[in-house]
Amino acid sequence: MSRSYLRAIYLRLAGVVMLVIVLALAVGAYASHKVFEQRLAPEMASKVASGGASARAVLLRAMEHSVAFKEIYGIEQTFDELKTAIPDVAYIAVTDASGAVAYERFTRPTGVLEYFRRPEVLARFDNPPPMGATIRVADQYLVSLPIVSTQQQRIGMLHIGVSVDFISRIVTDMLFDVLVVLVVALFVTLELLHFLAGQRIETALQVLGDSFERGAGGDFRVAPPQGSDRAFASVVRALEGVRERVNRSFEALVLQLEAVGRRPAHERPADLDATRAGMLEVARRFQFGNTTQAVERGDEGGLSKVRAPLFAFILAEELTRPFLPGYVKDLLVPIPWLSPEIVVGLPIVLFMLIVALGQPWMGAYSERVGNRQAMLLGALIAAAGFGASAMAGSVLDLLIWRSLCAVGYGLVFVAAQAHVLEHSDGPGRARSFAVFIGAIMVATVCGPSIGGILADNIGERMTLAVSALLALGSTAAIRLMPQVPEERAPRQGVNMPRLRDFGALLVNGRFMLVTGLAAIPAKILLTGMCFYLVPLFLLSIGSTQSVAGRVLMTYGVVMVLVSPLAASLATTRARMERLVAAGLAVSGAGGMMLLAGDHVLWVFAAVFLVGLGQAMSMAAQSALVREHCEREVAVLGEPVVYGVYRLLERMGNALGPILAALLVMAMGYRSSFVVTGAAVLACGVLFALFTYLLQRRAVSVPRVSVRAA
Amino acid sequence: MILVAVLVCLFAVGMAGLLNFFKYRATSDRLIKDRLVVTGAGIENSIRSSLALGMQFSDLGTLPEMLDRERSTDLLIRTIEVFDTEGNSLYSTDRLRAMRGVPAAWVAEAKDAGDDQWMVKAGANSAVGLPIKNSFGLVIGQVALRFDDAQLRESVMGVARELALISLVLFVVSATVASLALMAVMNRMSKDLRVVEESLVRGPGGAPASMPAIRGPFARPLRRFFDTVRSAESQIAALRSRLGQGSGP
Repeated sequence: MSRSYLRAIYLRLAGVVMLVIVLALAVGAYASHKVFEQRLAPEMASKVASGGASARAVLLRAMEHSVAFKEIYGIEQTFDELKTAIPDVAYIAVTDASGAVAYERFTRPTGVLEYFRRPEVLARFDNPPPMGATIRVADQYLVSLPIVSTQQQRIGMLHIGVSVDFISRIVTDMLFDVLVVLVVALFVTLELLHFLAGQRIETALQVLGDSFERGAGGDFRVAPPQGSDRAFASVVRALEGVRERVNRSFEALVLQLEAVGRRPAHERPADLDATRAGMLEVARRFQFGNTTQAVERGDEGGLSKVRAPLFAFILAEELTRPFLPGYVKDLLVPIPWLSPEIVVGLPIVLFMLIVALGQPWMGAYSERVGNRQAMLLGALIAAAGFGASAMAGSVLDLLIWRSLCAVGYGLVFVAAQAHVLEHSDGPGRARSFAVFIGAIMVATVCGPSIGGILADNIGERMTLAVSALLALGSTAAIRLMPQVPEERAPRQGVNMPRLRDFGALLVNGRFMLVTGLAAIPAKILLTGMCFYLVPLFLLSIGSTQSVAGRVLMTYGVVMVLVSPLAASLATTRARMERLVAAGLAVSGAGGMMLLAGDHVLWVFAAVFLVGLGQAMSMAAQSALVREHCEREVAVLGEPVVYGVYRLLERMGNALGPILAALLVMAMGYRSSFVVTGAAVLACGVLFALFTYLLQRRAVSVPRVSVRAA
Repeated sequence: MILVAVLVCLFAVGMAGLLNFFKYRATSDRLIKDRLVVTGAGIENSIRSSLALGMQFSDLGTLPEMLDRERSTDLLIRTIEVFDTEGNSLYSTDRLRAMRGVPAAWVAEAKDAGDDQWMVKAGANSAVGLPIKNSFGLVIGQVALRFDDAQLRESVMGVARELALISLVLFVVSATVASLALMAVMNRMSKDLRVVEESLVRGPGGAPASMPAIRGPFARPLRRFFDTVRSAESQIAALRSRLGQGSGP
């Protein structure tokens, strides 16, 4: 009851806020439309007047060569040239001194013939309007330029019309960006609700639900009193009061039975035994007495307090996704032995390498100083890295600053993960990790879209400065995390993988089946295609960073929506294998979408499919390692096996941009997409094939063993 | 809850306001640029025609008069200058400026733009430029139309103030409405719980008549709770009654 009710509350609260915001944005769009119309119409008119002056000069030159006003052949060509120079032009007309139309072109607005003859229009011969003056006639803004010869003779008037739609087009252009703002606002609302009130309400609802369930299940045992400062405390007290009353009632029955049983036999009721049996039956069906277990449940040791700072911090990094490769390209300096394509990928590669290789030491550091301290330090280092990146002079110093960002990112990630592990136990661990992964996924949705919009409008450097501020801001939320308690028992030391463990696993077919054919290709596709190819390709076809951000946002949205569903389906080994194979195939097919064309929509479809495929396979892939490597886990230990798996997976992150850069050098952007996608698709097919062969081998081995016995 | 409403409305309305402002600024810049490019294109055309007739780029006799004429067609244009790829001024409507050479920012921007038009915004030295190409398609110089962007900046700031005011009003109204709406939702939840509490205080004995009145998410768990309580209490009561009846001298 509590979880579904809580979800209903969140949705209702978020829905209400979203409704208000939609209305506010609609009103804002209407108001800004009015402002734009008021300010931009004169500017458009000035632009049109500039072009009109050239057309007017052609007319005058023709007349200077004694060509009659109404016999200037080829004037329509001048009008066409004007339309080519200013595509917003919707109508052009030349009238004589009385307002009668001599020439016209394109779409005549309604009522314009009467307008031409109006006295105030004809008066413009004597009082030419200032540049930028325009009158609205039907659905066009008209600019009128008097045609007067050098002898001050009135010849006629040139009228040029621009459709009023040009303002609406400007407002409509922003529609996608406003939609992005709405989606991000929705996620921010949910995160804020969870951060500010969610844990308190959730705990209170759990206590309430527990109390209901106990009563409904017949458990009338009296629990120790709870704090009265919790939400819903009075309701819980009322529930407990009813249970206590039933408990007392049973106690009274028991006492009464004992008292009656102590009487002399002739005074006892004839059906005393039946009554006693009835009492035992009641005691069997229901539970009475006292219990030491409190109804209330703790707030899971501040687990929820890690979500908000993690979200803010990851958001800071995700802001940079759509524009970082383009920013690096702008800072390129020639490096003799490296091609520009590879240099563009270097900051991403270095970042991924540092995060991958630094994890063991960062984990040990976090263990030593405490998760909160490690996260604080990580956030500060990353903030410094973002700030310095904003001021980078060339790609060479950008590499240094991005390395700082990587160190900070790794520290925060590792410490946050450790915090989740420390504050959750076996059965609740999956749900706790959902909190952890959820924060990252939501940041993956919000970050690229907003980052692209900011980069387009305030520039990449300012956007990096915003990232620095966000990372700094996350420290405020990190400070709310619990400090390391002094009496905390030291955690059992984690076994680090040794070189020979690496070696043993690298030559292990079952391990490499998941790692080499699934995990590594998936990460190569993610970083190579989404982080490297997509932003650069979109810029190369004339698109903007806002568009790149929206495209990358699609990946996050699909992951958020599909991952939980896929995780719920991954209940057996066979299903996990099918999900991984299908996920690889779908994401590989995504890369090949660009065979169909190079329009932005195909890139959008490609990223959508990559997100879908990876959402299908992510949870199952990780769980499959244990399924495939039971023996290795038993011998080496789960932390070692998963440590090697994660390290190799992250090496895939680092390889992605390098491989993508090499492909771009060899065959261009579109082909790079297709080849990367085809390779991942092939990995999916091979994975399916080898798992099938593995299954057949596993089925055939027991038969041999039985015969041998 | 109020904090949630305020922060989210601030983000959404603020971002939308910023988007509006940036869009206006970009559109205004584009219109200015296009306006000046129309004039500049005419000049560039004329120069190209003269070069096609075999005239030297640095010796176009009719060009100064043409530049003066074109400058007078648009009040926004302060001067029109033609310079070569090194930044040496060849023709200018302002003879004094011609001797000084063109600003370095123009030359740099023109180089970066290559074959494209370019724009520099630098106060009184703002300019829009077009490349001049010879018959082989090589860029041999630039025509720059200088303007003072002070008036434009004033206009943009005016729009910024208007949009900021609109956004402020929208933020205040939306934050207030959203806060009230959130409190209404929370009050509804409190009401659901009050009904539950009243039912519990009344007890399961009085519940059957009023149970249908309890709606919402707590109705079903409350019904189950009461059913169990009623069952237990009735069984206990029956046993106690049996003991009470059966006992006696």
